[in-house]
Amino acid sequence: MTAGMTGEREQAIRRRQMASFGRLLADFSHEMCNHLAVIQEANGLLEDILAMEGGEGTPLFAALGEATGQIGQRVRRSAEFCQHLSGMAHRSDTPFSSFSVNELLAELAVFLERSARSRQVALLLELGQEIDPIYNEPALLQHVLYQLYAFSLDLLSNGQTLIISTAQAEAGVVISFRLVGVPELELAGMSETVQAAVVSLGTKLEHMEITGEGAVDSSGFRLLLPSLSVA
Amino acid sequence: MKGKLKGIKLLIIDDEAEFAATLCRRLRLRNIDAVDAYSGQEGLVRLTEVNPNIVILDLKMHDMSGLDVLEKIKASDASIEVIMLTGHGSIRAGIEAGEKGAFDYMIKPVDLPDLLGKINEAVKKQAEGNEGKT
Repeated sequence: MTAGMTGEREQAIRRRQMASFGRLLADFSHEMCNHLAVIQEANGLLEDILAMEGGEGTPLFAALGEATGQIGQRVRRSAEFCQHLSGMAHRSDTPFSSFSVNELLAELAVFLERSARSRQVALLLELGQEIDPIYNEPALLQHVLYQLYAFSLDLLSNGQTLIISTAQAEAGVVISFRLVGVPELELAGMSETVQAAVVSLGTKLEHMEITGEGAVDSSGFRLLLPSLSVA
Repeated sequence: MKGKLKGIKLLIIDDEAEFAATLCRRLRLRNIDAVDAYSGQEGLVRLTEVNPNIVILDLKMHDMSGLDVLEKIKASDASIEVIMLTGHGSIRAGIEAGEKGAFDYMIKPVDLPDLLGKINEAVKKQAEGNEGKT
């Protein structure tokens, strides 16, 4: 077997792994949405009964109203999470597809915010307007973006900011990572597997020249994600 | 809203029995004549018994696909308006349901005021269709 064939086989296995994992996550989020729907209806029924029974102004009514309100709020928040999870999971339904980079990033950010917050790092998304959909590997892009985020987060500390932005380019979409508070960074420190995954997307990472306010204290990198031709 | 929906018959078909039963109860509290069924097959049986104006139909059920149930409902009476309930990942199937004649689709869990609004729109569309026939 040639090295080329081994590489292709590995890629095929990796795609199948991602598809299986995506399928499992999609089923899980679907199941969770069903449970949440039952909880929401049961909670709504409690609210209906409370409203019918009257008793406004009593401490019991107030306490029960507060409790059902909290349940309703948490159910809505959980449903949003599940819907984002489902969206993420379905990215691996087909290896190559046409998708919006902004939507994919917004979906991912919901899950990244927690780890950024725990390190007291602010995560900001600056998504460009009117960005065309691109044809590429969405599940692989998710993986790459997560790894780039993790790489950036390791360089950031308390009170610093990570800004992930997108912009339209002629050949695709530029995704930039700006680390505010980190004057210098070395891309060679990134793992070889991540760099290989970036190459599989048909692109490469490059240092970003930062100008304007706060430029001295900032560094960053970017990649131009190309829209591949439909096979 | 309550007044407009009074007098309509509504069938909920969802194999998540607790969900269907509780939603049914809440709709009845709002004077909507709602009936529930906990599988696709049971739903089709209830369809002939109840003769509903509106059906709320889950897309994924253990015995039958919601799309298959939708086709059978429309074949039996094309004027019945069907609102599909889908998971977020099944949006494509929700769109397919629209192509097969579903009135609309909603993503679970659904807020009751939104569902009531959708039922109201479906009733209005049905009434317009009936006026066109006369």
